[in-house]
Amino acid sequence: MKRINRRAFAAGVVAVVVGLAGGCDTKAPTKGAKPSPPGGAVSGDVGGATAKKVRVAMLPKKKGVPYFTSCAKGAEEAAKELGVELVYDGPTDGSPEKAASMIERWTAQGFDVIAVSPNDPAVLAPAMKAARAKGVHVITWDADGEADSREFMVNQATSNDIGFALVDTMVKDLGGKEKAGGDVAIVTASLTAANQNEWMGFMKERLKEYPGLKLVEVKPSNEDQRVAFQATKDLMGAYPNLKGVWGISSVSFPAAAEAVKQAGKAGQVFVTGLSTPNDMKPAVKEGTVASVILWNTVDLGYLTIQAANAVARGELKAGATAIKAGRLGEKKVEGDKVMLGDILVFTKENIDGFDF
Amino acid sequence: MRAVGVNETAARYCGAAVDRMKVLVYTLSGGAAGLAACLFIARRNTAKADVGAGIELEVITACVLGGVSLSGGRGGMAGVMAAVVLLHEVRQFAAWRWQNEVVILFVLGGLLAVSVMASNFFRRRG
Repeated sequence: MKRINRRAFAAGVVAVVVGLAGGCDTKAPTKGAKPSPPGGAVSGDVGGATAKKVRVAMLPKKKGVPYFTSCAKGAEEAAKELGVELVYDGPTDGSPEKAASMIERWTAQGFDVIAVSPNDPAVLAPAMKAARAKGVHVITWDADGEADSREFMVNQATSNDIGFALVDTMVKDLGGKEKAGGDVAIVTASLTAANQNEWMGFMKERLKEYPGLKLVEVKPSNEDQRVAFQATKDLMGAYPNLKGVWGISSVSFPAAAEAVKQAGKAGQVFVTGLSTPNDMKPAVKEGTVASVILWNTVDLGYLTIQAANAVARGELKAGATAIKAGRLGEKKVEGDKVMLGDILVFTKENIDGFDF
Repeated sequence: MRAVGVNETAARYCGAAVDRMKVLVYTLSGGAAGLAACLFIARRNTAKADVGAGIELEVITACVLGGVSLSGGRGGMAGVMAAVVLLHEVRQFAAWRWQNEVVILFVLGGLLAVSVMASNFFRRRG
């Protein structure tokens, strides 16, 4: 009796799964599908590029971080405007291995473009290259991947501008070139992220012009607030002459500011870095932080989808010098980098004007 | 191995080499983990100590679905291998349908709950 029931149960589960799997269409979900756009054949494999909907998958370093969520907002805006089918998903723990699995899955599901912000270029490169080999367009945004793993990168600002601005702002906070002296430290994201590493390269270059400042340590935080908080506390403990801390990830900056505030060192240890204005409003209002540097993340997401659409439709090809990016107008393309433009500096005076 | 799993004390009194069996089982388990790590590195180009954190959910689901008893003493390779394939199919389906990692986790957790309940149900009836 027991044996038969067990087998029946197992057969039932298998039948249900096979039935569900049989109902799936590799191109688009058939359940609850939206009505096809007028004049377009959604399910056709053979169809003019203008008729078929472009399917884009967008992968952040870590899903749930406000910086990336604001990029997603811009991306959804562009997707709606262009009629692009957008999937925004990523590992909630920032694990590049999970991200690689997701890229492989999207390749199998036949997406047209995969836009990646790689947390670890080396781990994601094989999956990205495999996707390209299968004919999927791969672009990166926010952080770059290995050179031959993507066609274009949508860059917020030049790493040169970002690195130099970070150092110049800190020097200003510390009282200007003459007065600035002491130990300084950086709390970064993950040690493998290409964007932070590029910025730090330029920061180190710029620091040469301020011999009074000594960069004592670079600590990772892996996009985790608690780790960043602890790292800043450790830095204050280890270096009594610490005068400035940079939090160069949108997660490490608010945590570092909080650590300085809780240690009662606001005004003695200056904190600056990159983060969203919403995350930094309390610290700026209290005076723990004087300046916040970033760029318009909503526009970055918007530009990413515009670029993805252009790549899928063959409008953005190697050798291009500009692309039309919807409400952003024309955006420069330098080599294989699509440039968003300028950085923004938020201070007590203007931070209320921004909501992201 | 099964005897030790069902009732360790009874097995010991029957003369089975219980301690040796346990050492063997744990050694095999460690060896399998090492092999899995090598395969992972070959695939993912990276080696981190905590990469497997959280994968226990899927492993236990595969075992329970494959007929391994949570209280020990029952199970076999064929069932577990079939369950691994099934689990992969469920995961691919969930990923395609919902495109959201959190929902996939929910589905796999639900499958684990169903498997455990089913195995309890069948055990009582048998």
